[in-house]
Amino acid sequence: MIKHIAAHALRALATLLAVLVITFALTRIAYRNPAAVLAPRNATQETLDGITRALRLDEPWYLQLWHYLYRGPDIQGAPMGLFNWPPALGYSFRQQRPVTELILSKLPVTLSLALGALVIWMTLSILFGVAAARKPDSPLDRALSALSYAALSVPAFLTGILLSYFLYFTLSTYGIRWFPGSGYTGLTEDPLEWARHLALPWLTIAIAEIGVFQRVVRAAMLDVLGADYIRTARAKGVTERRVLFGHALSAALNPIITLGGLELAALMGGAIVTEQIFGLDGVGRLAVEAAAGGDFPVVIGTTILAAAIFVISTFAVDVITRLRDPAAG
Amino acid sequence: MALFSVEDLSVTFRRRGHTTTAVRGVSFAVDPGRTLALVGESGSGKSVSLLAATGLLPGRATVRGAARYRGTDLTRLSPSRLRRIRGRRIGFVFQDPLSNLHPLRTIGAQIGEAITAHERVGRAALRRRVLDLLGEVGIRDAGRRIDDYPNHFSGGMRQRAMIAMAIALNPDLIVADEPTTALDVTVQASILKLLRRLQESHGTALIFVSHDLAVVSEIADDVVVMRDGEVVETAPVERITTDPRHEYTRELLDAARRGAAPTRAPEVPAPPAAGKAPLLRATALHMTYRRPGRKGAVTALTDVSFDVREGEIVGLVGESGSGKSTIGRIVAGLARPTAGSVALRGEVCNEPGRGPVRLGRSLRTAIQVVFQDPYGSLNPRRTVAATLADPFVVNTDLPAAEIRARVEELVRRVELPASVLGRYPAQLSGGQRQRVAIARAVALRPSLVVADEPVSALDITTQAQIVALIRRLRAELGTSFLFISHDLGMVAGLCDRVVVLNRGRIVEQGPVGRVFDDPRDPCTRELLDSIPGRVARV
Repeated sequence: MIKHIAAHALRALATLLAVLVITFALTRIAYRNPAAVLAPRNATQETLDGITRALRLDEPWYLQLWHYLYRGPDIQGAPMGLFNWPPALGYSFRQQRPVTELILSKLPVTLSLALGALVIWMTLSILFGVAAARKPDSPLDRALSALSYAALSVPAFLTGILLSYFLYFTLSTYGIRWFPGSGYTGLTEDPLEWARHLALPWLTIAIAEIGVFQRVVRAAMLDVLGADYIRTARAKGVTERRVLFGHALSAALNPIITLGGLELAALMGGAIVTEQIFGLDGVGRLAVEAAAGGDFPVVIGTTILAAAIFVISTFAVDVITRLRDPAAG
Repeated sequence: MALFSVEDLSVTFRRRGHTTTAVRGVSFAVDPGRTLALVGESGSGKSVSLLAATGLLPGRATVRGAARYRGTDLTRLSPSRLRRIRGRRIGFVFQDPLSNLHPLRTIGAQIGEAITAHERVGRAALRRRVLDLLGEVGIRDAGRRIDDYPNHFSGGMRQRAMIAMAIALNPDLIVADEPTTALDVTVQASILKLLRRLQESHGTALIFVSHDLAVVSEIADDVVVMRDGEVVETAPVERITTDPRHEYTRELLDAARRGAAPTRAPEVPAPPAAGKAPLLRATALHMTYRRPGRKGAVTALTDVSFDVREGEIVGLVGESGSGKSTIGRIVAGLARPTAGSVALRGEVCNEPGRGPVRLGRSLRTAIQVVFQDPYGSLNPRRTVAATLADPFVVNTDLPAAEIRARVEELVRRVELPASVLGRYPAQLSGGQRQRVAIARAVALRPSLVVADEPVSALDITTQAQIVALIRRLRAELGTSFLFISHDLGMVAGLCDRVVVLNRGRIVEQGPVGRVFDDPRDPCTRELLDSIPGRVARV
């Protein structure tokens, strides 16, 4: 087990390094002349040359890469590269703040959004999926499957706008202000406000995910419900609820955990559309703005963050499924 | 009044508008403390009628008639009231003890649940009761095994654990559905003994479902013979075995006697290559496994050497865990031995090393395999024609029309109608599937076919047909077979020579007649004695 974890961790590091190099290369290709993007509109040629020199954009790419890894793309002078201690992701060109600090300030929003949505969509998907698998092809199963396809085919920006229109705009015209239209309050400041602000974004994400997961849960449960050991449980006189949620669900959990881990990781890297609609200042928004503004230290930083979350999440899923498998010892 | 009775029970299944009747007007009854056996081949409706009577059939089945437990009609009870009877009043033991245990829960938890489903018990008291139960069903070292998962238990031990669940609350009735079919003979004997002992000490009634009259004759008081969903004969066991009235009962009885008193294989002309080097030579095979997360290695094989000559059928027998299948896998090149080697016509084809065994085309097609479960070994999404064409497509350059002709010839050779070519495995019976698997194995005229328990998943009449097919293929094609089986009757009827294994060692090998008439090793004698009905009826 320990050997397995170590091998996995090494592979993960190699993956992250590869992601970093590729993203770095992409920023070099995408921004032909970063100095022009960064400079004020009416900058003179001297200013442009000054910026180019300061960012070492005139050097060959391998020196630039080394410089980035060791010193970080700094304008200020202090080394802030990944190969430094403490490792950092450099300095934002536009916001004049360390990238690590920027990301950390946005991360709580994105984490709240992703984890809260996960709880909602998993609970509902499991309830719906189990209900559908209990009586396949029944009216309930058909209705849930229709719901699922509807949720799947409506894009997130439309669900978000519809939710925002009916549950925020229409309600507030009647004077009911349950859900704010945008903004974010920290969990530690006011938990109730936190939940109130995030309720609509959570729903937006959850609706899309339920479309997929309800089907995944149903398929996994149907697979397991036909198994002999389920009949054994019924023969012992175990209650139907325990048969479904204790015996069947625990055996059906692997595909659900695997896919859930991937989806959660994707969301934690930034739920761009949802953040945009509900004015949440999260990592997704940070990444989009950086990409549009040529702030490539932030672009690389957010990409590395998304990749790292992905790697950690697949690693966690792997460890969990191994721990659950008695044959793996 | 009977403890449990089924009256005029009918079961129909609906699927996509089609209705099939699985059970038609079946009635039987069992008195307290007695043993009733339901006998018939697979598909005769034995299990279905019992599952229907106790509400364990999955949906889509319509059940008519009555199933009375102490006068209460179970088919009319609400699910929650029925649940309170199942497990507490009626215990169940099913056929395959691996698939019937939850793979992700410990044995102790699963037995404990049989108790907690009906009673409130404290943790410590529950553990003590589970330990007592494990001891009662004969699991040694219960304190250490209670927290093991099913995959650490052997087949026999799993079945003991199932029995522990069934008797946990001291039910009046135990329903045992083919409880020994998936086990080998020595384990079968001990499980039967255990059931009988528990029945005597607790006064439990037993309904015992089996396809094997030999097993039934050892345990039952009364016998119900079923065929195609109907009861054909009901009588006390003595009358069934001495004076069967129905033709089908006589057939079953003949099949059981064949198994018990092995008929000799017809004399085979001396193999043409006698005297020359053997076709296959396994030399000093050793095999050890490492178990992940555990210290030490498990020794599966120790110094196993044997030959298979051209055109010979060699039987490999032993109880489960004796290393039979491991030898089969090594001979077929599916696993590498830790030491020793396998040579085909003097050319080494498997020896210790890393990674999968890689062979040239001639060696690869020379040894083929037939597995136990014909359903698991055929791709469910490919037609018979596609499956049988594969060996030619992969290993030869024949044009499509020629392949088509060869496939048709193969199907004829294994006595299947040409209409199966377009069908999928799910549309075939177990026997037909195994014929397809055999056809695939002999497609490229291999020198040797390794058949790993090829008939043990089939019922008795089909078994006999498959054995006849193997014998005929040997005569027509000159193929040698390595026939792995726990069924000694089958081996005696089919093989020329037999190799007896015990705990990874060869304890005895020689011509079938000699080994069976004059067993020299105590292990062989024990295997022979465990054949049900052999002592009683030969």
